[in-house]
Parts: sequence; C-alpha cells; structure tokens
Amino acid sequence: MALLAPPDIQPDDFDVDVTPLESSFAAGDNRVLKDAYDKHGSLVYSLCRRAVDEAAASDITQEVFIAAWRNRTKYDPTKGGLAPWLTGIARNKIIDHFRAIGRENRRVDKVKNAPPLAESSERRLDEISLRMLLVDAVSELPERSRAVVSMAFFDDLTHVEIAARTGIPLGTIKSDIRRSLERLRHGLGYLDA
Amino acid sequence: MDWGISMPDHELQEWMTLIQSVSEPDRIRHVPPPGLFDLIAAEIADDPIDHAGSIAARTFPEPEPAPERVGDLPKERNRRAPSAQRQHRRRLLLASIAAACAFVAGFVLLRGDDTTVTFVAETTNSTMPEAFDGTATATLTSGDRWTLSIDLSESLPEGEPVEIWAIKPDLSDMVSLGIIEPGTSEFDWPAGFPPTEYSLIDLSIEPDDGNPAHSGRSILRGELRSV
Repeated sequence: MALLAPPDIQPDDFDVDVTPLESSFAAGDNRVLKDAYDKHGSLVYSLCRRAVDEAAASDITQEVFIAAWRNRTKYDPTKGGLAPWLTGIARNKIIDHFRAIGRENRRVDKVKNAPPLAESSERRLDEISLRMLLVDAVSELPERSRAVVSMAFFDDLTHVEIAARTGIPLGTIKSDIRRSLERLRHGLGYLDA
Repeated sequence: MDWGISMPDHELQEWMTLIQSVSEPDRIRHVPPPGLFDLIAAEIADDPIDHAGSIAARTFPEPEPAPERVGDLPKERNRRAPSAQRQHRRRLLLASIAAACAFVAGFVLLRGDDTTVTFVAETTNSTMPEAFDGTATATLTSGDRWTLSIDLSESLPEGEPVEIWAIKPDLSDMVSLGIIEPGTSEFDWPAGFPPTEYSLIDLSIEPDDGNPAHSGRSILRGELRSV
C-alpha cells in the first residue's frame, strides 16, 4: 500500500499539563484547598476588586472557594487549569452580586426599574478575567519562554531585538513564541474539542 | 517539553491579539484580607469528612445543580469569533496562497509503504515570485509519532527564517511544522492534523515582523499524495 495513512492520533494522546495541585483538587483532598487558595486567591480577589468594593470582593472570594470546593467533582483538570475554572465561578458570582443589588433596589423602591448588569458589562468582565488569567499563565511559563513572550508582547521588542538581547537564535525565538501560545491556550482551557 | 498540540493559524492570531491587549491594571494583584481563608475553612468544616481526612465524594451530598455557567468558563464563553479585520486578512492570505498554488508543479510521490511515504518537490515550473531555486525531498514516517524530514538540494535563502507548513487543499486552514534552521531537518507532525487533510506542504519566508502567521511569501509548495 502506498497511501499516506492518517496518523492514529486522537486528542487523548495529547500531553496534558495537569499540576499536582489540580489533580489533587479534583480528587477531593481538602488539604489542597488551602494550596489552591494560596496560589489563586489573589487572582480571584483581584478580579473581584476590578468590579466591586473591598467588602464585596472579600465576600465573593469566600463564596468562590466554597462553591469551588463543593462542586469540585465538576472540575476536570484535563480540560484546563484551576485558575480559569475559579475565575469562571468568580465571574458568575460577581454578576449574581449585581443582580441581587438590582433586585434589592427594586424591592425598596430606591431605583425604579433598575436594569440588570448590562451585557456589555458582562462581556467586559470576561475580557478582564481573560487578560488577568493570561498574565498569571505567562508567569508560569518556563523561564526562557516567559522571557521571550514577555519581551515580544509586553515590551514590544522585535524578534531580532530579542535575539540580540538573549543570544537565542531567531528561529528558536519564533518557535518558542508559538509553543508558548499553544501552551497558554491549553492551560486556560481553550482546546478545540 | 513537546506539548503535542499545534494551534491553527487563525487561532494563533487571535491569541496574539489577546496577549497584546493586556494592560497595566490586569497585572495588579491585591492580597485578600487576613483571615479570609479561615472563614472559608469554617464554612466547609461541617461538610462530611472521611477517615482519611478528606471530603469524600462518595459521602458528600450531591451538590445542588450548579448554574450551568459555573466552572463552564474555559470552553466557549470566552472564545471570540475572529474580528472582521482578522477574517479579511485571512481571506487575503488564503487568496494569495491560492494564486501561487496554480503555478506550482507540486511534490511527486516516489515511494510508499505501510509506514513511510517519500515525495519530491518539483518547483522548476513555479512562477512564485520568490521560488526556491532547487528541490526538496520530504519523508513522512510513523513511529511513536509522525515525523516529517526534509532534505534540500540547495541552501535556503539567507537573511530571513523559512517556515514549513501543512495546509488543507481547500486552503481553509493551515498549521506550522516549524522553522527550518541549519542542522534542523526533522519536524514532528502535529497531532490532530491528519496528513490526508493537511496535505499541502509549503515553505515560506517569514519576516521578523512579530507575526507568526503565514507571510504569504511561499518559496516551495507541493502536495502529499499516493502513487
């Protein structure tokens, strides 16, 4: 047979970057809840602070980790990192918070026909969440990749400038960036299925 | 580490746009108030605990059905449709590739068996503006993973990197196999991109413009096909 046979490679064959924390969290070891909080609590709280005041941010952060723990069996580490899962919960808690305020305002007649959180605000919250996740995800890249990605995207250096600064071959820099983006996508749970 | 995953070109472009949109406020991290975790721990303290000290899913009451959106962030919600500008750019790129394709003789398959296929690039009839003045032999072999090795009859043009791509014949999608560098002749064929579907092999000059998408400056192209 002379045909080019398609490789028998399925998505399950992909290397998956599941950290011990993520697999332990999904397995239900409550000792890792503290680890998860130590690692991602600041991200969750900071996302909340972008939308609400300190007191509400504290309440919502608390609700996020309690909800995450009680729904941990829904978390599948092979589909993405713990950080995007937690910020997904936070996003919804923030929206619920604004909806509750709207209901309360209507109940006490402080505001007539208070609108729910505008769709544009929800979309903006999604965008903020994604960008904050990206910042954290870049910080988790291997040292060389992190340096190259930071210089390319955050410092706006050209590939030639990065090569001159680091001594890394030009082609390697380009490959590093591509692989890093692929890794970020996977870590944030954006795999095409 | 080899991640075994390759990102389609249009998605790569979207991620580039996204990462470039990060601003200073996105980097600010606040420390949660002291004692906040103690409140969380106290809240779940009454949850059933098994003998090993971990809350066992088998003894834990079935959680109330969570809102569908809880934990559902990663897949679809934040996936963004390509902007009109990006779609336009993509159409232009694919149109330029389509135009160039019409003049390339293609790769000629020499030999194949159950596990290997060998083919040769014939570019002498090419009218690509920057056509490679030589031929290339590419061999796709299977093993633990599929590997494409490439042997060039002439040196590649100097000055700018040359990248190797696999493209669908209908030009609807493409994936990069890597940069051809001195001493580099083998490329992992990415999982999820069957060679029978991504059967156009393309070499392109890629300027250092910070954009890892295909430049449209192909120098060699041919199609994987059976004898």
